[in-house]
Amino acid sequence: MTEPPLREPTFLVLTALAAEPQHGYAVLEDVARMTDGRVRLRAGTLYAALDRLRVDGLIEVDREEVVQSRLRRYYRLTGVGERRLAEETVRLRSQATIAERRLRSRQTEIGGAPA
Amino acid sequence: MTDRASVLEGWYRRLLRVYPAEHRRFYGPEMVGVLMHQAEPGRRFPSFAETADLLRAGLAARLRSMPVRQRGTGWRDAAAVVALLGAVVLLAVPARSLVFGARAHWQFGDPMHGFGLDGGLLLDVAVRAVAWLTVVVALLAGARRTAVVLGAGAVLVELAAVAVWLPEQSLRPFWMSEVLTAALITVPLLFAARRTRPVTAVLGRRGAALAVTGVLVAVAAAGADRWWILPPQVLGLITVPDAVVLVAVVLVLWSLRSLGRRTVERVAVLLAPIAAALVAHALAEVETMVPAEPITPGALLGLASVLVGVPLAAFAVALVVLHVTESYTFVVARRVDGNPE
Repeated sequence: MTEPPLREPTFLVLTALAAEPQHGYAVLEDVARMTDGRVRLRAGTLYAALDRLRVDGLIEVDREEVVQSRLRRYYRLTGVGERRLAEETVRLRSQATIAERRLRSRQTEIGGAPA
Repeated sequence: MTDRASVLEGWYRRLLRVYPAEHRRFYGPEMVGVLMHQAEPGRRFPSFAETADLLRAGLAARLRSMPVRQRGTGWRDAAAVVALLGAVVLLAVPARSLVFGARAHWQFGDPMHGFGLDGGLLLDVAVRAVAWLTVVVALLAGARRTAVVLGAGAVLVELAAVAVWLPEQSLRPFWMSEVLTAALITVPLLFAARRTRPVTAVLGRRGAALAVTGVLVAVAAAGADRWWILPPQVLGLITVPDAVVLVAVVLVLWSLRSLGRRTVERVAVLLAPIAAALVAHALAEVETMVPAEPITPGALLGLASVLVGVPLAAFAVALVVLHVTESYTFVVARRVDGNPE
């Protein structure tokens, strides 16, 4: 059965964790950095995504630390999460390729030069 | 920590109460950390956007954690059981009429003869009984998806059985309302149970056979007043048919003994609207049997809203009772574990 497409916050959280295990706040910063500040996740949205991903087995807890008397829980991508992110990346790329091809032919038709 | 920061943290902790306790226990400390880290220095209260985000995500988490949305919590097994019970009731009701009708037909001739509809009533109940019989057979054979399709077909048969007698029998939708309600509840349950274990695996073969027999006997005995006007009593306490109904109900309950407590509770919740439909119908039938007033559109609407509203209300109440009971059990269990919230 084909999985439904990932929502953008979920995709971005998985991408953030693909590099290395990270704690919640680091994921927020990473997502903002990856998107040039376009996506600034809030705590509620972040933890909704983390919870769903953890329940579905796409991520798991890596370790816990206490820094300045605050709990920091690090999450890492699981094998399932890695496969899911790879599938989603292929899907997005193929859609982007189609869109790109159509835009290019459109520009040729109307006489514009491809960028 | 400064005063401002502790005030802000207090606000965040209060806002996090919108999340289910389980979620709060796991993510709460971590979320407070992230929220405090994100907060601009000097802030005393959460921003509007932050508050809205937490409320939205918290309520969504609560909705997700509602028992009906979870797998492996007994709901699907309960749906499989109640779908079987519902389908057997829906088979038994017209089958009972078929038996009584055939007997009357044989003794006194067809009551519909005067309307030029020889055998019309018998055909009506026979087709309905066969439609639900196919559903019951499919369920017992473990063909759950086929049962969904056959169930949908049986609902269409029930609706047709109302439609063909209109407008001459304007009260027919109400005579049959408990059947229609039970049918409209049973089919979604068949659908919900299409991917769970077959009901013969949930109840065991013997359990399923007991449940089917129990419902058939209960429905048959409950209609005994049609031909047995003054039945004898058992020890002057209860009539023989009523005693048979009781025994049959015990038989059905006995068939559920292999289920866990959680599943039995869910069976009760899912049965509540069907039981309420039967009671509402019995009460409404008394009302509509008073022939003095012509049936007005307002009366019909009122009756219809009672027949739809009562099962819905029964389901809602049963769900709330289950939720409260389970929350209480959960808190007690945690206290016993020495791990209070």
